[in-house]
Amino acid sequence: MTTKRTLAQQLDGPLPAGIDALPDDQQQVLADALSQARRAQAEALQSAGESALSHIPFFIRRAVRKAVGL
Amino acid sequence: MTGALERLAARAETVKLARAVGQPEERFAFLHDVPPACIRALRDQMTEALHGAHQPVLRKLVSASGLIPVPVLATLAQKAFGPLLSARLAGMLDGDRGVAIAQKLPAPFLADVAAELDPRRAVHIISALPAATVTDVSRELRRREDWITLGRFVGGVPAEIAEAGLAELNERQVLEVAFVIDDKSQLGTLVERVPGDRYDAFVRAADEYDLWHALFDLLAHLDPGLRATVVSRGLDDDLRERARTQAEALGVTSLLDVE
Repeated sequence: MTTKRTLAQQLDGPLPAGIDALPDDQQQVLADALSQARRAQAEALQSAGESALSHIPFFIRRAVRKAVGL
Repeated sequence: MTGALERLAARAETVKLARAVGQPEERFAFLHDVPPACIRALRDQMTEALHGAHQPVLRKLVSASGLIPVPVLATLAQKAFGPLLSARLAGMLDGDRGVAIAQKLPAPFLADVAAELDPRRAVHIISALPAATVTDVSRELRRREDWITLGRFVGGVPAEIAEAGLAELNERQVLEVAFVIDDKSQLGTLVERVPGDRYDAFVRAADEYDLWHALFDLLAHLDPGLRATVVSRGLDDDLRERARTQAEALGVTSLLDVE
């Protein structure tokens, strides 16, 4: 039942009945896919943070750094 | 027949769920036997989870964006944020600023963003975009054959915006979009835009591009009168036989019984 909790935990709520009725291995496929999508989003954020400042005009860079907490 | 139609709907929902998490649909073929409403609910939950993730950082970015001139934000969107983050941020920007940034971005990049966007969250921006921008982006999505994104927008934006985006679809493209559209109650309007003497083009497109599943799903969502018209005008003897064979394979023959 760990698999089921993993998907439900990621979704922060109960699973729809038809999904809850799926075997654990199929729920795991769904849980893995959601995890991968989250990771892709986190990676996009990290890479954006690294490159964004270089595109921002120097005169507002300090204010922007402060606003995002860098 | 209900079971067969449910399976068609489950297939369409599976395609959309796969897109929401950026995976090939084949990975989720086991969902074809799950009630479509459950797959749709799961997709909504997954979309919520992804949009809810990293909110503190995204909010700081939105806050900082207020300090940055629009042309610089347009550059940042393309060179630093990319389509995924731009889509997440678009839903958190105020409408005027979002529209101003969008108008500085080329249609191919906006199409990339559209593919990642939940249109319900950015309707305040999309509905204020000039019709020419919507048309350009729709044209780009059509060129890419990104029917899922087109279908999501039809259900997620006001009717007049959807109309601008769909005005140039041919019958094959209508079938592709109709299969994955969220709000299938609008399908009758989509079909009625096509002249009656071209209904056979729907059937020929289904035959030529192996879109029988999409044709039958479309027929299932038309009111009985319009369905009867499409079937009676769209099927000549040759196509009628092939349509019946395909309908039997999918368990939906009653959709063709309109006499």
